[in-house]
Amino acid sequence: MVNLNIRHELKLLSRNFWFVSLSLVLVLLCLYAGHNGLKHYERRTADQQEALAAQQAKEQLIKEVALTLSKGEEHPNAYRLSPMNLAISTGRLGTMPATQMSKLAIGQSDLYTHQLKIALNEDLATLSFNELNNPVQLLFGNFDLAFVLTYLVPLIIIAFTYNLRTRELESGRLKLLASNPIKINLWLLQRFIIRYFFLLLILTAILLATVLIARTGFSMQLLVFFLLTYAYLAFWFAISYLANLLGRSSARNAVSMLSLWILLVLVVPTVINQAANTVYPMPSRVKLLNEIRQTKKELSKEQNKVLDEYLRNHPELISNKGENAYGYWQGYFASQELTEKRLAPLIERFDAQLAKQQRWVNAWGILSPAVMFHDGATRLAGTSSAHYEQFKDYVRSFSLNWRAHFMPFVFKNEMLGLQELDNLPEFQFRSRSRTAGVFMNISVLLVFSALTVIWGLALEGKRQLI
Amino acid sequence: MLHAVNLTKKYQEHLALDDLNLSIEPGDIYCLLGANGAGKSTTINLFLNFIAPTSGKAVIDKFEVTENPQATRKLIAYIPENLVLYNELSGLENLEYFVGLAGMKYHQEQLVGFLKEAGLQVEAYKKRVKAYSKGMRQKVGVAMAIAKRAKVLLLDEPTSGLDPKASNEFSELLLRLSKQNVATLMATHDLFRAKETGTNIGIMKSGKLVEQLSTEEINHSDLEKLYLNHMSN
Ligand SMILES: Nc1ncnc2c1ncn2[C@@H]1O[C@H](COP(=O)(O)OP(=O)(O)O)[C@@H](O)[C@H]1O
Ligand SMILES: [Mg+2]
Repeated sequence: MVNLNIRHELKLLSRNFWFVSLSLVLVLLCLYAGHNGLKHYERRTADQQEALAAQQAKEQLIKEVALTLSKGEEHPNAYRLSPMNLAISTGRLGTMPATQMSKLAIGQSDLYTHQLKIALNEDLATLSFNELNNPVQLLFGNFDLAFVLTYLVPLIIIAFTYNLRTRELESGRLKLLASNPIKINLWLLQRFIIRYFFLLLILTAILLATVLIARTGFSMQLLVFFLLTYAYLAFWFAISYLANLLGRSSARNAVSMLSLWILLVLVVPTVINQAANTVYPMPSRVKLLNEIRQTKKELSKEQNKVLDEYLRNHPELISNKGENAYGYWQGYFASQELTEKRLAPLIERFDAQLAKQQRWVNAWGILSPAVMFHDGATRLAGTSSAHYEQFKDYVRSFSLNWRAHFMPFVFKNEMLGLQELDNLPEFQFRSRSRTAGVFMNISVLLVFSALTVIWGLALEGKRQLI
Repeated sequence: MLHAVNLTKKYQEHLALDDLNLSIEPGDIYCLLGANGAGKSTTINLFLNFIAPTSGKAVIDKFEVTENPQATRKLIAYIPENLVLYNELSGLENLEYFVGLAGMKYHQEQLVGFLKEAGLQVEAYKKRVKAYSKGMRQKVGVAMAIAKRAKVLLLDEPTSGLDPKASNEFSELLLRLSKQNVATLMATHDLFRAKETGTNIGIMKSGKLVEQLSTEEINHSDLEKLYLNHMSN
């Protein structure tokens, strides 16, 4: 029966005007989405290149100054080698490079920064929170391939399967079919599986074309992205199969499938998103900023005490030039560290709430296949909220490093030489691939699909199918 | 070949079929007459196992249909009043698909042979069914029965809405199949054809089989009188 049904479906689909034209529309949509992703990637990369080039030019200039000085000559810009200048106005540029896969799933990258200057005077507390705090990735946003797959492909699946049984029922053909020695739910399952593989083949071809247009190259992530897509398709086919077995009319099936689409793709993600904020509300940012300002003000009143305490904690920084060796900046950094120490519990509460929100979203995201798919896609693309979180963490720890590296120079008021310039910490962020986590998403989608199909098969004999 | 034994179907409190007993042997063409709602389709659907009996048994060739629906459906060919095929496919392609579902494989020439045997005009074989008349579609149905080598024909008002010529052709096909020992159960409103083609006649009323006779026992006008008599009281 399989061969027979394959030939049958091929004939029916290829002679179906709507199927052929919608497939063509899908081709155009995907290619356009791929093109969009490529443009987005190029823009982001060009921005970063430009910023990095400017930064390098600055550093080159400083090197030249150092070179001149090392020869014992004078240089009008000698001040550039002061620790304050190097650590604050030159600083370091932290970048989060776009991955090849980000062309396919841009995610919410518009809302996040991918590059920022790391300087000694930045407050770690504010640095961490000027990013979007919400761990849920909105599913919509950029018109990329992930968008087309998350939103539009389920609609196409619904359009081509919602009445596969009910149409036969309504036309009266189902009786003619069922007068043969076949089991209707198995026969229907076969038609669904055939259509599934048919769409899978078409979509694979389209995806490959898109990948070529976007020039992502081939990688393990791409392969997993394909698998994830197949699992997502399977879910929608399975749901439609069940709706066909349960439903008595095509019109009602269409309505229930579209309602389900609205529920799973639009409503559930939004509700999970909102609920995360309600259940684990973020402490007020304004309050945090106020606290920081307040604490700094208090500390500035007792500069000497602050500096004393700081030096007690960092005896290695004590200068042999005595008390007079310390000026404004030494006091500034001492109070910066103390402020952070005092506000640590508050900052930790932010982090903890954020982590809780993230866990909540991860747990409840299972309720929406669209979330499962989109989350998986952005993980593979390095544009998931987890990646931005990781970038933020890296920036934070790098800032600490940067600070620790410069403090001895600041406190000893020493200029840096050629050799010290070469030993400055380098910012090297590479997103870790999260392919492993995506297999969880794939499994969830497949388990849901399998359970749905089993439910449908179990209806044999329990429900009037003819 | 076909046996109904105390076959009863109730929808809630409504008796759609009340204690039906009948036997149809190979070569018989048994015509079920009766007003709309008499229970003719219910009888046929019970033999197809599309619905489950409330009590009693429907037996085809020693298999009880509820216990062995797949085995019995291998023996059956079913032609409803309105035979709906796949409009996007040709008659030949439709035949190939439905016969394939029955588990039979034929070469293209053999399939063409069946269509020819069913009397479909040659030009129509490869045309899409969308352009077929009702009579042409019924012929594809007959071709399915032939190809399936059905031993039992279940026909639910197959000639309703056919023009007299098409109806006549259909009757001739039935007679030919009957000679090949096919047992036929046909629900119909056409008294004239029932008498002409059938071997036996049963008259149903409100779910009950109220009269059974052989077509040889009775002439046209008596059959009509008998039928109207049953319908009026
Ligand atoms: N699915 C059903 N639910 C309830 N009543 C039904 C159903 N199918 C048929 N009936 C009733 O059973 C009776 C017999 O119907 P049917 O066998 O279709 O008559 P006919 O002789 O016209 O083919 C009718 O009264 C009809 O209303
Ligand atoms: Mg009827």
